[in-house]
Amino acid sequence: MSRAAWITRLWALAAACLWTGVANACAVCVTANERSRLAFFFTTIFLTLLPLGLIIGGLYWLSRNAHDVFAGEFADRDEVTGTPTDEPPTETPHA
Amino acid sequence: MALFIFTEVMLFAGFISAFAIAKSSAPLGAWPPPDQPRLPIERTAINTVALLLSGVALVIAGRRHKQGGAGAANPFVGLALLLGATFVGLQGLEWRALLAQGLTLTSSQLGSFFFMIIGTHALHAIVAVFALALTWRAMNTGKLTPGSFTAVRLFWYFVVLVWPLLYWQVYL
Repeated sequence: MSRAAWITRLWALAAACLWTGVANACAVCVTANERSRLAFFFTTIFLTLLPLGLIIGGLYWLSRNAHDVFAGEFADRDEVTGTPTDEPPTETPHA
Repeated sequence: MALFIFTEVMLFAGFISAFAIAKSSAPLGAWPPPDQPRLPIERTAINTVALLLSGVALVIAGRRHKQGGAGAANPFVGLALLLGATFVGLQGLEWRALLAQGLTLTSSQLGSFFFMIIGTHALHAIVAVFALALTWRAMNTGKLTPGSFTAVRLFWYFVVLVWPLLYWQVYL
């Protein structure tokens, strides 16, 4: 596309931006009753805090139960190498 | 399973939020729409009790499974399955009555939201009942793995716990 065509399109976009009116997609802008505004307010808080709460709850649960959850994580490997899962490896004294 | 339930929680949160906004945007006295049938609050309350009791039965089954193995948990999984199937069956009868009275997916905003939200939950409940039935069969044949039992229980708890919120928002 030529430079002139790009400039024409940018001018067209800028002109379209100047043509804005009331955004009909915004329910609060058009039907501005108090109950609707409150519903938007509370659902926004609800939908913002819910995923954060779930993530924090999940991390808290993991921090409390990680030991039990991952207890058998390396059982197969330890079976092969002969290392007991819950005991730390013993240090061999230097000769 | 936990990640899947996370996404499901957000799905229902979106549904509930959309419904709350649609309800509050209706003019005063216009919700529920006057020409549409009323939702059966009392009968659904009985269904709700059945579903909650099935959740309790599965909690007990989980504890028994930890202490005494599959044999100890088996009757409670059976009870949870029976109560869950009762919930699904009664909801089906309720839907049939509402459709006969004229509440459909396209009859009003209430109908659209009702069948979308409660229908999505019903779909989850049906899948969960099937999963419970398979779990119960696996328990009886001695093929149950602890991981699958935990996953099914988590899913059923989600189906049970999201329902009171839906009942409160959609029916009351």
